This record gives sequence, structure tokens and C-alpha cells, in this order.
Amino acid sequence: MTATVPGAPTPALDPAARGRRGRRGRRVRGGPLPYLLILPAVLVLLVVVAQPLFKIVQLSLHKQEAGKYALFHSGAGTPFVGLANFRTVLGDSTFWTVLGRTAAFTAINVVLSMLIGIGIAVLLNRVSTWARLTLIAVLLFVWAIPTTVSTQVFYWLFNNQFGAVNYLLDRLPGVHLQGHDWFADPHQGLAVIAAVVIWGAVPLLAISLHAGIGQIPKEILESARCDGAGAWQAFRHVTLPFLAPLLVILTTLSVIWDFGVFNQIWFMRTGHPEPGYQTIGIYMYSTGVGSSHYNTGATIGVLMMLGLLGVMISYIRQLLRIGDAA
Amino acid sequence: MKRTVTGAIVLAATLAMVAGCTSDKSSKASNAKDTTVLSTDGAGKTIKVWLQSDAQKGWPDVVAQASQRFEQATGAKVDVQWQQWSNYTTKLDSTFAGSSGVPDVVELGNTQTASYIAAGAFLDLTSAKGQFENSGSWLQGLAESGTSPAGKLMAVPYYAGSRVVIYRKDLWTKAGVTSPPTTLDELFADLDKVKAANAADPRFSAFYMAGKNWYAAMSFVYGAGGKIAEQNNGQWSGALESSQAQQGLDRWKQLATKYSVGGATKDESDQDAVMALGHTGAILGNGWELGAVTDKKTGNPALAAKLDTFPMPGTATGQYTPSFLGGSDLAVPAKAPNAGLGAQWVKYFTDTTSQTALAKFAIPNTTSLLGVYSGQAQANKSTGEAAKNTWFVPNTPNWANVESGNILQNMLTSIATGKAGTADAAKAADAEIAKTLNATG
Amino acid sequence: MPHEQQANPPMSVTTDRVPAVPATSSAQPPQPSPRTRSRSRRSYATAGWNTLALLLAALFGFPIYWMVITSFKTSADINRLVPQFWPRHPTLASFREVLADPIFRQDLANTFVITLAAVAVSVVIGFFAALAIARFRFAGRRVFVFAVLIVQMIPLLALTIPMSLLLDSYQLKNSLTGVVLAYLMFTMPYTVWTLRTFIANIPVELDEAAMVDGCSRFQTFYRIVLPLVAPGLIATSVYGWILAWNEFVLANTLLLDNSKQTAMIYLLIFQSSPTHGADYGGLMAAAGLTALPVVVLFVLFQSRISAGLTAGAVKG
Repeated sequence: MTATVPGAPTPALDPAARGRRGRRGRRVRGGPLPYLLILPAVLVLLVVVAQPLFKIVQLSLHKQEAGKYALFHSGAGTPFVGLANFRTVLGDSTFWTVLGRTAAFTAINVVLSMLIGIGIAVLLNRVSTWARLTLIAVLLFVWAIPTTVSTQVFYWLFNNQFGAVNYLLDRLPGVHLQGHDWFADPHQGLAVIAAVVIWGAVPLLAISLHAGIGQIPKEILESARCDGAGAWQAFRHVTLPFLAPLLVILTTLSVIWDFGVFNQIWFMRTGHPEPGYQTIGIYMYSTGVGSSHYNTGATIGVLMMLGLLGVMISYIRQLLRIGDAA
Repeated sequence: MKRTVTGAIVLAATLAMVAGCTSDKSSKASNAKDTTVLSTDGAGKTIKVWLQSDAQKGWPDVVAQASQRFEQATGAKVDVQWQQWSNYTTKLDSTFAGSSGVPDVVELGNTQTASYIAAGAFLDLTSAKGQFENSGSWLQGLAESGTSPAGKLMAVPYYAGSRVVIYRKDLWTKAGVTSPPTTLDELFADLDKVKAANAADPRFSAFYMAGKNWYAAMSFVYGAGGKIAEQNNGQWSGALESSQAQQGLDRWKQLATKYSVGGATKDESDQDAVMALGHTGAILGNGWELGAVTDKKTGNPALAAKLDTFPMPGTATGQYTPSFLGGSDLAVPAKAPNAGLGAQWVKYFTDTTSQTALAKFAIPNTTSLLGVYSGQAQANKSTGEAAKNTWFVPNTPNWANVESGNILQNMLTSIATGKAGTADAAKAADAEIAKTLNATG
Repeated sequence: MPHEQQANPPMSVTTDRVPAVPATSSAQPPQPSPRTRSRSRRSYATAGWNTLALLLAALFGFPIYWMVITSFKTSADINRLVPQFWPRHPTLASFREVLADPIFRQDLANTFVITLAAVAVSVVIGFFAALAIARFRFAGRRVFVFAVLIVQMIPLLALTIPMSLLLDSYQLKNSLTGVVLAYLMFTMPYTVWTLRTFIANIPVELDEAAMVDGCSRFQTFYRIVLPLVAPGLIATSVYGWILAWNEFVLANTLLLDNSKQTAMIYLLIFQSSPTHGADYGGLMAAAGLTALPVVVLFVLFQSRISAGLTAGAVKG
């Protein structure tokens, strides 16, 4: 759909050209029709998004008195306390430990997934068709598997007595892993959970990046190679810059998703993650829903969203640009 | 362990004496029929009952028969929904906080009732107490857990259980142990023999002890003279740091590390399945777990003839390590849509007929049926013995949060995996226990 | 990354800078001769890459392979110190046991109903809203677009608590409808945005031609635009299906009755229950059956999904 003129920037990538061409830019004033069209969506957004958002802020500003009594008697005894909940949560060292752990866990997941994703994307461009199709097919299968299911499969694979992983690794010379309990030490356990997260994240990244690389005009790569650039240099100076916007988006999305990882940790610990396994999402759920401290849980939820906002600033800027152009 | 009927009578008498202390409360309940709480108007209605999967595994027929009698009497149908103990209080909290999906009857562990009673989650059944059969002879431990501090009846006793050692008699005999140990030292010596005899099997546990089995661990704590927590001037403090408690924990640690393989980070919920695999010499479990180990579908029926039981011995001959008086109560949520019918179902499920049928599998809720229980099976004699010397958790509303916060389980796992020494783990747990028990709101 | 949060594949690439292109590159003629030597070098290299690709495929596919064969193994073969890498006594016992449980069948049905409803509703609503954004200028358009984009960044997990309290106040707790409503929060925005992209790529000239022929604007949408965005509809439906099918936290918090729960909740109960705790054959069978519908969808619409990904990756 986009004409490719050798040596000239492709129209799809040139914002100025898009506006001029007007093929997508031409919109009409439609009177009441557009408002009718967006009405259901607006309703959904208001009811299902705006309301809970309002509610969570409201919850975080009230305190639950007298244990469960307030809960069971429709909130009786939940006075407004301003920012007291926030002070309590932020003053709790557990919160900061959890936050630090989440940051480290997220960083490792994002970095590894992106690196492996880019690697596979590049690899997909270099292999024969049959190998590419095979790998993509496997990746799509992996992507289709629900996180809860994949976690349970890994749970079984890493079983201390009968798991295949301990058996296979134990065959390696010098490795003694028979009966090794991966979940005794939270660091090891989180490593296993990270493996599940990365395993599930790579397909999307790899295939998207592969598609992105495929959009790079062949001539540019050819000419770079003719100019004497090696594979690595071509990658650094041609491929990466082309992929940069896509990489930013994928990285930001990965951060958002990995920050909120829940299912994998919850199912790997069969519903009772020990303190050493708690990331911010788990901590929020255990506090809020688990022990029914709804107000404290809401406070942690608000903090969680605020924390992500900082990361998302760059993404929001991209979105605004898209919103304007679109 | 060769108890005769005399022993059963002694047991019944002992417990009756103890239960008798509370009987004066029940005698106050009027004998006049008070029908305001219980209802028989059930035509076209269906009540929802939440029971734990223990009944589904152990005595589903008892449930079915009680429901049948209830249906005949009221015309209402019964929808029994089987629950899991895992994250149960979360589900209860979520349900009671809202207004939809509230069941008409809930089963609760006797360690969980206090916090819900304090929160006013249940219907007050005091005025109808006389209608519940055997209310005058309920087991004290259960009755207490269902009574509010002001003396109101909020939950009806359902059944009790005590834990005993379930062991592979054939493997022990092969290892040279012909009679059950009578002291803890003897037990450890016997386990050494069993372990040595099965040294060729790397998966073999002479005694499988899950790392999160706090019921077992605390039994040793209480057996050594310690306790979980104590209250001074209204303030709770953890007591696991005391030297006695530590001694108990160390004894438990021996079981969990020296004789148990592969269970350090797990809880006891699947220990029956583990034992059914055939590589376990003994476990500490409820009497009905014998049936679970040999279950046709999920267990190993071939083990039926090879299993036997004995109460966990104490430090001196003739003494036992106290057993946790586990058990459940039944309550009617205050927000239940069919509260009156729910209470009626509880009446049928806890009356003499039902409890007599139940006594085959678990300790019934009344001392008057203890004889029936002990006479049923060899295992019941052991559990009956074990039920004579029991311990219970600190009776305070915030205790449920200690359980749901997994404080004891986490402490024990770190001990069982070697991550922390007994002293350090106990100290950390004490701090958390104190914080949780003393929390307000 | 959790499917639940997988609000969308990369939606667009806005390149604010175009990579520098050497001006003389296209002027050089192709050079054939040095290639004969580099071709054999290249074929060795390709063989090496192919091997690597196969290794990666094996590594990534191994857990799925393991799940499948475990579900066909007997209990005795599963609980062995030396794992069997191929079921020596394949059996359907685990499947029979799981499928015999009426709760599992009910839960699976519930998951179907919830997912189908969430996807259907969000596709309809999303299509309308996408039309509005793509084809019209109207006051508040930018705000709406921004709102749709921002919503996808809210971690659904954080809103579990208020969502459950809110739905309860509407008497929608413990009901499948309530869960569907809650799911709209993440299925709808993604649908709006992706369909917008597809619609925007349909030339306005087609609309105008149709209207010249006498179609009303609405008929144009129905007759011209809708068939052309069919691939987009399929892609967004499949994504929405995956998100809704895999969701666990909200369903677990909202659904209380055993008969109303979803397959994901069933899996957790299965894994942590005393009856089935050590029954890995059953667990893998239940897990496999739960993943099966999604995988089937994937296989059926695989090409569309790739197209959707490509469109999302590149078109702006």
C-alpha cells in the first residue's frame, strides 16, 4: 500500500507527506453521527474505567476502622483520613522492599525479553524459509498459551523430585541438582518465574520486531553492505535506528506489563506467595483482597499507578503525537 | 493402644466432665419451642451451603442424608458447594463484605470463627440453642469457638479431629521396629532404623513432614511447655523465642530435615497423596486421612492393610505430645438470603442421627457419641487418645490474620530449608505475631 | 508479558526522523561476481542460523511438549525419578477424569460465555467508535482518542478492589455479566485503536464513491468499510479472546459460586487441593484443555494475526 521510491523516505514514514496526501487526513464534520457512534464506548469508559478509578482514590483516602466490622456492615466506620494511608504505606519498610524487588524483577525481565526478542527477530531474517516458519509457528503456539497454564507447566517441570529440569541439568558433569527445591530460596524461585514471564513475552516481541525489520527498505541495507559495513555495523547503524520508535513502544509496554506480573507468581506458589516472592502487584492483592484491608490495598494500588506514570511519560508523549497526527 | 471399652468410657467421662463446665450455660436455654430463628418454609427455595472438601472426601453420604431429611421437612433444596481451605478467609471476607452470593450456611475452621464473630458476620442462634440436639454436651473446644465473648451462640460445632502418626507397619517391621514408640527418643531411634533400611531409595521419607505444617510444629512447642503467644495487660506478645518453644521447634526440625525428603516448602494438604506413592514411612495426620491415603481414585488401596496409627509420643512414657484440637463449626451468615432455612439445615446436620453417621470418620461434636467414635476403628482409638491432650491457638479475633498471613508457615519453611536458624526465625515470627495480634482495624 | 495486560501489540510507529540514506547507493549497479565465493560461505552461515533457529524452537516448544505428553502418561509413569520423554503407556485416564468433573465442564463453559460476550460487545462498540475517530472531525475527538490510549496503560490489577466493590453495589458480583463488564475495560480500548488503524487505511474515496451512488453514510460503513476491515475485526477479536480467556484475578475476586467460576480458577483449585495436589497428569490435562480453544483460534487465524501485527508495527 505504500509506494517505495528508492532513495526517498517512504511516505508512510514521513509525517509531512501523510498530511499532504490527505488520504487518511480527510475527515468530515458529521454532525451528531460521530457522537452517537462513540456513545457506547464513552459509556463503557465512564462506568468501567472512570468509576473504579474514582473509587480507588476514594478508598485510599479513607481508613477502615475496627477490623472486618466495617466491611460487613457496609462501610460503617470508614472515616476520611486524607493522606494518612499513604503515610503509613510509604513509611512501611516492607513496601519499599517489595518495590525494590519489583523494580529489579521488572528490569531483568524487560531487558532479557527485549534482547532475546531482538536476537530472534534478526535471526528470523537470516534463516531459510522453512526454519523461519517453524520457529514462528512455535512462537505463536507459545504466545497462545495462557499464563496460568504455562506457569503450571513450569511448576511441574521444576518439581523438586520428579521434574524434568532437575533431571536434565543433573546429567551435566559437575551439576548436582537431584531433588533440588527451586523455591526454597526466593531468588531462585523468582528466577524460575522470570523464565516463565520471558518465555511468554518473547514471541510477541520477536514477531513484532521481525515485522519491523522487514519494513526496512532492502536497498538501504544492501547499500550499507556494499559500503563495507559488517553485519554488526549494519545492525547498529541501519536496523536499530529504523526500529527505534518500535523499540521504545515495545520496551515501554514491556515495562508496564512486567511491572504488573501477577498470575505467574501466584500460580507458581499455589496461591500463597511467600514474603520473598511478593512484587507490588502481589503485595497489593494480598493486602487488599487477601487480608481484606481494602483501603490499604487501594492505597498501594494508587501508588502502583503513580509509579508507572513516570515510566509511561515517554509513552504518553508518543501517544499524544499519534493522537494529534491521527 | 490396646484400649478396651473401658478406655472409651474413661475417655467419654473425662471429656464429659470437662464439657460439663459449660453445660450450665445451655441449661439456661428455654425448652420452649422458639421458631423465630429456624424456619421450615422452604417450598421452591434452594439454600446454598459451603462445606469444605474434607466432607466431600471423607463423609459425603452423611451430608447427602442430612440434606435429604432437611428437604423432606422444609421442601427446600440444598446446593452444597465444596470449598478449599486455601485462601478461604479471603473468599469469606469478600462475600460478607458484599451483598450478593452470600451462602446460607458456612463451615469455618474453629480457629477462624473468632474474628467473624467479633465482626458480627453471623446470625445469633442463642435463642434457638435448645433446638440443636446435644447442645448440652457439645465438645468444649468446639463450643467455645462458636460462642461470642458475651456468651451468644454464633456457630454450631460440627466435628473435631486430632492428629496421630499414621505409619507403614510393614516397612517399620521390616526395619526391625515391632512396636510403636512410647517416647520421642524412641521415635527418633525407630525412624533412624526405618531410614537406614530404606537408604537405597533417595525419595524415601522415614517421616514425611511438610515444611508448612504448623499444626505439627506447634504441637511440639506446646509439648515442650512452650506456647505461641501470651497476653499481658491486654497486649499480645509472641512466645516462640522461649527456650521451651525452641526445644519443641528443634524436635520438629529434626523430623522435617532429617527424616523428611522433598516437603520443605510445601504444606500438608497433599501429604496423603505423597504417602500413597509408597515412599513414605509415616506422616502426622487426622484419622480420616487413612481413608484418603487408601482412596480408590486418588490414593493407593493396596496400602490399606499396611497402615496403622499411634498418638505422637511425648518426652516421657505414657505422655503424648499434645495434639491440635482441629475442627469445624457451622454458622449462618447474617446476610444470608435464607437464614432461617440455613439454621434448620445446620440443625439436621448436627443432630444425633447425622453425628452418629459422622462418628465413623471424625470425632463428633458431642461427648455422648464419643463411645460410638472410638468403637468404630482402630485408628479412632488413637485419635480418641490424642484428643485427650490438646492445645489450641490464642483465642482472639486477630488470630485469623496470623493464619492468613502465613506467619507460622513462613517461619517453619525457613527453618526446614535451613535458610534461618530456629532462634532467628522464631524471633522474627514473634515480632510479626505481636504486630498482627495487637493490630486495631 | 501477561496476556491480560497485553492491551495491544505495538500500535504504531511514529517516525519523527527518517534514517539518513546515502545518496549514491541506488546509483551503483549490482555486482554479481564476488558472490559465488560468498554464496557458499553464506550457505554455511545459513545452515548455522537454521540450526540455531531449530534449537530455539525446541527450547521454546519444550514446555508445551512436556505438558502434552504428561497429560497422556499414567500416574506411575509420571512419578518416576527418571522422567520419560515419551509416554510409554499412553492413556486417556487423566482427560477422562478431568472431563468427568461437572465443575470443570461448567467452568469451561463459563469461560466461553464470558469471553464470547466480552469480545462481541467490545468489537461492536469498538467498531463504531473507531469509525467515528477515523472518519470524522468533531469537538472532543482528541480527548476521546487520548482517553482510549491512556486507559490501556492502567494496570488492571490495581483496579481489582474498587471494581469488585463497585460491581457488588450494582448487584453484579458473583455474576457472569459483571465479569464481562469488567473485561470491557481492557478489550474495548484495544479494539477501538486497532480498528481505527484499519479503517484509516481504507481510502475515503471509496466512501465518497459509494455516497455518490446513493448510499447514506451509515450504509457506506456497513457495505463498504465493514467488509474491508474484516481482517482487522478478526485480529482484534482473537486478541480480545486471548485477553479475556486468560484473565484470572478479576474472575477470582468476583465469582464466588463453584458453578460460576472460570477455567483459570478451576486450575488453581486443582493445583492447591488435597485431592488433586499431586495429580500432575490431571493438572496437565486440565491445563491443556484450558489452553486448547485459544490455540485452535490461533491456528485458524494465524495469517490474520500476523497481518494484524505487521499493520500495528508499521502503519501509523
